[in-house]
Amino acid sequence: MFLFTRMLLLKKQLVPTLIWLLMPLILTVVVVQWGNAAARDAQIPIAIVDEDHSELSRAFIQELQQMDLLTIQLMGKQKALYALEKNQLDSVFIIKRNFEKELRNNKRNQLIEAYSTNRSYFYFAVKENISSLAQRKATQAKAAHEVKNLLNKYDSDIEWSFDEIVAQGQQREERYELLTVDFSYYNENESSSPTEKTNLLTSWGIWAFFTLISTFYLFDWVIKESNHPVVVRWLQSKISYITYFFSTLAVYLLIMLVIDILTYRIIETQFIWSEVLVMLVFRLTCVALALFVAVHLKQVLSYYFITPILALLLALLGGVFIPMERFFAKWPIMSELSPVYALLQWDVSLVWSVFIVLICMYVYRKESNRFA
Amino acid sequence: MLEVKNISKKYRSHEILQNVSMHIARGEVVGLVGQNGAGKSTFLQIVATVMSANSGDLMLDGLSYNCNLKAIRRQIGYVPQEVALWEQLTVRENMLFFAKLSWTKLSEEQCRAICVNMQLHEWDKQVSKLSGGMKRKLNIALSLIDDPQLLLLDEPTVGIDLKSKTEIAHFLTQQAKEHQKMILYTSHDMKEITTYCDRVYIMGEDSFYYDYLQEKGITIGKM
Repeated sequence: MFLFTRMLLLKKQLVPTLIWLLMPLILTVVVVQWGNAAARDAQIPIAIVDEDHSELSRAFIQELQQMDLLTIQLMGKQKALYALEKNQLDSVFIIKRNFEKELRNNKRNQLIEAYSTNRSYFYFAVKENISSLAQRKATQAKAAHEVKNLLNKYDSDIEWSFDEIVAQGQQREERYELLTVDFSYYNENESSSPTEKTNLLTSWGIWAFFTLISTFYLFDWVIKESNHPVVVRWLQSKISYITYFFSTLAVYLLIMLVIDILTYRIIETQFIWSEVLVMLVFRLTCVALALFVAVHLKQVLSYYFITPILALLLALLGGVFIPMERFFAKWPIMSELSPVYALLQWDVSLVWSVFIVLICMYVYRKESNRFA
Repeated sequence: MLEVKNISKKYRSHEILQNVSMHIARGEVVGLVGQNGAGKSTFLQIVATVMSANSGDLMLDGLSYNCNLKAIRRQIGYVPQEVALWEQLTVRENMLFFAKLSWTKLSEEQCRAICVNMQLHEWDKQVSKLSGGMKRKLNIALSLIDDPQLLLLDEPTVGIDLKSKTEIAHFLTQQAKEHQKMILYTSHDMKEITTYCDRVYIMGEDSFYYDYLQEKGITIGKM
């Protein structure tokens, strides 16, 4: 009975409803893909020629490949130099034969040969990066060399290979985070860490923003139907308008939650239930917000004007477009202002959970008192 | 029988209805006239249970409004002044929509029969494309789905052509006489009122309506 009537109304606006329902998923994927493509375009193309083909040279190339700003192509010397001439590459670096042998023997000169042209705008920056990595490798090798000498000198029973010593050294580097330093002002407890994670333009931040907008637009039916003269006909109907209203709400919510779970499966590689729960609570919060605004407005145009501004404000306060971590570190209570922040922390906000319950009660009361 | 005794309605400090009383017997078509703002629509809405009165009693077929609201509502068909239809749906879809939500389970044929009875034949036409007269007819047809005993119509023929007006008024009279329904409707068309109503109530203190109706020999009810 209810579903038949709801379908009659929905089928007249099926396309826009589907577009709004799928908008957060589609736009999040598009924006993230676009961002990744833009980041790829911004990378500096260089070629590495590995003449040594040793374990150490391969490890060196692997580390280079992890640098976000570089696109590394492995190729032969002639091909690389030809590409450089054609300005298809910024610069070419050749890991010379005996790279591993020289390093192990603590010889650090002329290990890498570099080529550039007058159009190699990033050559110096890339060269510095590669030199620094080579220096690190050389230092590791030197340290390993020294340790091995000491072990021999003092007739130690421990038999460590060169690679084992290097691996041990790397483990220690990672454990003690030797390059991480905390800074703080005198007499202040808070410290800022260079490793501090921000939520700036993450896929979930983008999704949260589009979800707010799409939920607001999907709930324009609250204004369109509640203020329609036809509502008076529910007086003579078997089910009351309030029952019809909340049944519609439940149907919308169910469809949205299914799409949200689908979105999570697409965006995340692992399925973590606690995160899905946080996501669903966020959607409930969006719905509660949409209801709250909609029941207070009579004109759908005002609703279309106010809600995008509200979505933008909540996304800003949630730290989607500008970093808010330092601000929230100083005034933690302010982080409760936007439900987006809780989502990005994969946390359920108590304040917004209470808000959902209060809004449902308020809307129920308001709609129940519609008639005599 | 509908009995209304001493009902009053106030909006903040403004008194709209003051101790209004009336009655309608089965098979009667009763008109309600008065100037704009006299409280005709408010009175109709109170009888239709859209809003409540501040004081007074209402009874329908011996049942008090105070404790039998659900049963009373089943007996009422209210036709609001505004056209209360889904404009994006067809006539058929509008009828089926409210038939599905109604107490009486009507088939599609039965719904269509109500429309045909009202000379509304454009079954598959979208409401937004209907003429004003057809919309008014559908507005009334939807209120007839549950076969109500009391029909309350707020200016049901406003803004439509004479042919549709006559058809609607004729249909209402037929409903009252043949099916013993109680009909109360408001209108500014005095010719329509004097032609089809058995009795007329005047709201507000305007001698114009009183003199006019007396001249036409219409029974004027005392409110």
